[in-house]
Amino acid sequence: MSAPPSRLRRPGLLAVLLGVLARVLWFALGVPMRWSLGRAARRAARWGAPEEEATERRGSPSRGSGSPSAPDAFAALVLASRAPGSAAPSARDALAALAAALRRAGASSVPHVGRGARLDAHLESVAARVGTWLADGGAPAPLRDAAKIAAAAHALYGSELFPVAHASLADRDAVRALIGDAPERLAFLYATMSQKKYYRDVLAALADGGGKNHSAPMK
Amino acid sequence: MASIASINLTNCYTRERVALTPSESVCMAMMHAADVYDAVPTADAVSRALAFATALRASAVRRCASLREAFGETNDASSKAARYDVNDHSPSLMAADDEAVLGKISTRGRARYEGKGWRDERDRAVEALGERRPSEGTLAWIIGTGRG
Repeated sequence: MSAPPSRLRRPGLLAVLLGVLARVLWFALGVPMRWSLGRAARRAARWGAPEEEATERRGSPSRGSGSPSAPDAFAALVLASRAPGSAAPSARDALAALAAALRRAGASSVPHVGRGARLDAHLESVAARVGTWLADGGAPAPLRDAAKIAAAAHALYGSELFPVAHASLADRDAVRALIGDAPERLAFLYATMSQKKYYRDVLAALADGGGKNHSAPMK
Repeated sequence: MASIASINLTNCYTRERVALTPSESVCMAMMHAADVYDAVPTADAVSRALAFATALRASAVRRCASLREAFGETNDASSKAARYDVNDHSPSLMAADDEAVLGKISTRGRARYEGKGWRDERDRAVEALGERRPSEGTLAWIIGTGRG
């Protein structure tokens, strides 16, 4: 299978510095980071953006609320990618195409946490762990594949804690073509969510036995 | 029982909130657990971060079996998922490196492992690179386990 054209590229120093500044202001003053994006990316960063809603419609007619009894729109999106006639790449093809695109974009020379650590190695390692851990848990195979691909792409758009984006949020269609709709959705959520808030909510859920909806504003 | 299913996400670009579906919440938890786990080069420097990743992973694993129905799969009572117990750290259910982490996060366990000459693969890699340990304070602040 030939991979679709990739829009991945290594960001310039100015873009990274802008991202760092946006994160400093977000953490210190709570200023949302959208001001640091270009116009198209700013629109795409919205979770209620028209294209985001269109993606959800492809998976399911309604968005799940997160409660156990709600329709799981993401599960439907994953299953749709396995349906006969789906244009979604196989897990193997998606991972190979992503790795090649990241290599071409210079991810192997981008430092990650720790001296000597590189972004591409980190992405591969996280993807391998996610695949193994979900298999250990007995997760459905299609979900495991989608999560593994998403993990290999989790920093593609940068993240709250990693201001080095190899793809613009405005290029979501190209990334979907590369890795599939469901993995891209996870990668997009990962890139645009507050990790710090999530980690603290996880700690609170683990501490109080879970089940509560921790929706207090970020301090 | 601790649960990560009901946690809403906050958009750091727009401040929007969204509730994840059950399958999304498991995937997201696993991705974050693996990300934190992999981003910690030395086990003992940031043991609370590793404890966090391990607990988050365990919480996600506990929810895996409940997703099978949404994917048209049946839950076999003898399956690994159905048998999973967060307190069961047997090698059949937990990867060897997790065993090591669980040993690391308890002083006694750590001494037991080190007493046997055990070394984490990260420690070996870090030693080979001449790596300095990352700031425990920074990661602890991010995760929210920092003191003060």
